[in-house]
Amino acid sequence: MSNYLALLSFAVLGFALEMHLVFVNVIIGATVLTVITRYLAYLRQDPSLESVAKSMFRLMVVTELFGGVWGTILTVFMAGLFPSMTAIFTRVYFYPVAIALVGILVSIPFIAIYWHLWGRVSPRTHSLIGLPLAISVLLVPIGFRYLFAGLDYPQYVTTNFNPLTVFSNPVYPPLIVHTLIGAMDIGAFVIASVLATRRNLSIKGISIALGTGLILLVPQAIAGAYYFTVLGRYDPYIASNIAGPLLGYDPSSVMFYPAFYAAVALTIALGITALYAFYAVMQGRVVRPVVISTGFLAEAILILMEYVNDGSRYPYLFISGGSGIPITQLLNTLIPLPLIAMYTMLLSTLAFTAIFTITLYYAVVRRFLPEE
Amino acid sequence: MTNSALGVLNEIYVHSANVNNAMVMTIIGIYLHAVFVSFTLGFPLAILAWLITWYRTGDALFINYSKTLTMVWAVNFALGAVTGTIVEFGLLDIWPTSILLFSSSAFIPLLYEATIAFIGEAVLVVLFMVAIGRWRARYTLSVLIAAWFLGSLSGYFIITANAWMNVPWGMGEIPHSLYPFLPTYGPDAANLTATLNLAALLLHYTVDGAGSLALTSVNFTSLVGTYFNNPWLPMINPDAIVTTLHTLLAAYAIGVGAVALAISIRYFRTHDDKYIKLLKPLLWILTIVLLVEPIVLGHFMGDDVVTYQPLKFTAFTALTGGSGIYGYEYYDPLEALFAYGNPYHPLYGFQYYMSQCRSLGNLTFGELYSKLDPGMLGYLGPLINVMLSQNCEAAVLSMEPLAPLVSAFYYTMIGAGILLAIASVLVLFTYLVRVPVLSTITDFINNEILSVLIGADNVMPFLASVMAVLSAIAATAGWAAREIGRQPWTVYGLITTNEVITGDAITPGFVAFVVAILLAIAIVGVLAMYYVATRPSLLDRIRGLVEVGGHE
Repeated sequence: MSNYLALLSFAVLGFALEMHLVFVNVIIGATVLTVITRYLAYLRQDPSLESVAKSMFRLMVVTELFGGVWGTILTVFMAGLFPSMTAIFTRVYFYPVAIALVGILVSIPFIAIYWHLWGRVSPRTHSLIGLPLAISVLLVPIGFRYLFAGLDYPQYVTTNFNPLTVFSNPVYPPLIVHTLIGAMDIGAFVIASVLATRRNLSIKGISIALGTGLILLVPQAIAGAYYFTVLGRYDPYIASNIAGPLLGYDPSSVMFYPAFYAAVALTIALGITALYAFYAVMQGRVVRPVVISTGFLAEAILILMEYVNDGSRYPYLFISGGSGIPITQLLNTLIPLPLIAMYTMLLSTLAFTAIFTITLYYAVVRRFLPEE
Repeated sequence: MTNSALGVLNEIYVHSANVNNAMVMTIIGIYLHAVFVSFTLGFPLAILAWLITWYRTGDALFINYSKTLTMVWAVNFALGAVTGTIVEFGLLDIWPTSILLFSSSAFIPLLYEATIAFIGEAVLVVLFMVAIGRWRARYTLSVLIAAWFLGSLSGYFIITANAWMNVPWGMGEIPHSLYPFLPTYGPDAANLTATLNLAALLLHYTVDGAGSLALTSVNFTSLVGTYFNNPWLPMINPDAIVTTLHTLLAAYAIGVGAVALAISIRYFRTHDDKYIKLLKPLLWILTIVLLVEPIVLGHFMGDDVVTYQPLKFTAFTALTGGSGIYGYEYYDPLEALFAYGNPYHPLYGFQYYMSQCRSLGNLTFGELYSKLDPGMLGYLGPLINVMLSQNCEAAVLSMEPLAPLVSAFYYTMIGAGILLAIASVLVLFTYLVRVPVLSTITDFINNEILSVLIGADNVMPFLASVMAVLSAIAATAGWAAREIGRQPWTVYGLITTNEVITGDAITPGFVAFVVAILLAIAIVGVLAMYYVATRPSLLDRIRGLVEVGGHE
């Protein structure tokens, strides 16, 4: 029973994380691309480019609300199911969490200011306001990704623990590079998809989004390889579970490497699809189903890769080298975890996710946000 | 009391610098969130009132204003969600022992809040924006009522978590054993050994620097064991039920009151009768809520305090009880009447509680743990020779200096509540229903006194404005009295505030930075709502874009 509860809790946490990441990657990507596109529109005095930037920003604003909802759910799951892990995060990673919180806190007024002042101040000033907005949004993954790096390279509390040592985590640099490039890539492809659903197509917007997504696929692949190499050095257990026998490893579970290779195959498919769609757009044609599929493919790759990245540590949470702290050791035993409550939560989130998807279709695809 | 015992107990009961600094930003953050949440709960009622009036009268004024308020509601909901995330992380990061609540007494309320109420409300708020004025009345109203219900359910779950901190239902005799003046808190659902394990760990780390560090051990849950056997019990905590009703009605009053205030201000500026038309449906809600909330539910809230939080009740009466509250017992006929139904019943002062503490005798923590939980003796450190009676007395003494402040908030709430009830009666019997004698009296006050002072046309919007402002004052003061009155504990009779704070230094500079950001969010939030509120056709413009398929 204990093992089943541990697996269920681990899966529930993973589900909430995946849902959260589906939205926050779009938030990060769309914000950065908005700010860059808006700046280019100012430099080139190009109103159509500015219109593309507005579309990107609208997508970001809608996603922000739902990303926040899933963030709350994720946090509650984390503290409720794994109290010690959460306490370690808040103690050992106090500064990274503070950085992320500052990012959330600062980004909110800037989102409102950026939106409200669009067209009300000079384009130069507005472009400048975009800078702190983009930085604040980037601070959120920059802070929170330390927690994930900390799971792979634990730095527990010791008597003379210095909280600044967490910034020297060797797993962090490749992880954050991979994360940020990935977020912008996903954001770009999702923007292209949303723009392709419109009746009045913005060829320029779609080409910018697809082009950005395509270009970023290359550094993203390099960052992925870099991250895998670092994992291989510090967490051979995870590397083995990810790469599987195809790369000569002896994985402890068959649950993850098939997903990894499926994600790699989908990435190749995304590259080909995006290339074809981009070529067609350059010819003045938008092949709607193909462009729309790039957003879905990008999100599917994210889900699979994050599943592999986080799931492959099972049955451990904190992992170092070939072993770690088992999930069962960190699982909440302060109360008898009520299974019926767990199932109710899952059922409810699934039901609302379905309604949520329909609502999202109206909110994003049908552009349910104001122009000014 | 020996110096060493005093030093140890000070570490537990006297707020550290970290606690004092962290409290500033936590209080501001929670109040900021509370404002947005109150609006989120009250606005749908105002929209509902206008929509029903629109369906009944066909007057386009009501649907137009419903749409405008819907946009304000949506902006406000987003702000509430964002500030809620900040508050949540503030709790986990700044007050990490609160993780203990997330994983025990508040496990079910908080998980249900996130996965049923909050997510459902978010979806339905957006769905309502799609539906209003376009779908059939019964569907539109159903979505609105469902969104409002889920918002209220969210309030119930959150307040349930908070109520357990005030009345730890299910801990049975344990708090009473440590503090004899405390009552029994419901059935015995706590495992004594596990609770003693938990207490030893928290006390050990608190004396050592920060109690929250106890949770950072990867062996924490196995060291403690299952300390709370029935995670469903907090859901039926009597304090949760009363506090939920009281707080939700207060939130409705604040939300509807804010709309009424905005409409009244418009009327004062323009004297356009359409604002009076808009005000009337809102007054129905305001008067009913404000008559039930302070009079009926306020009384039950008071009963809860008398029964479950005796120190808080003594602190409440500091301003009327005078120096008597520091003695053994004193007389306060009015408070005694409401508390015990007998004006001659004595009220207990802090010395009474001290004498109750002394009934614990000379038993030390070391002796207690030797007998009941010898495995944790090693964690007691300097506490091993401290007597339980000394520990109990330190708790009482730590509340004494706060009593006047708690009392000031309490009587501010009472005063505002009395004025609210009067304003509600004046509105009810003059403008909403006619009742012989009562309406004559209220007519006299409104038409012969108030109208002379402020002008006949202004009386109704003036009373609406008074109700709005006083609702906010009463709620702010009431919540402050409730939460400050909970000191020195975070969980009444179980976990002190010092046991909850982070081990990392909370510097004044950091606090100033966070406060500045919170204020920026407050200002931007208000401006955003004002911006949306002053653009009546915004929702239609957005939907126009949808209908034409997204023209730029």
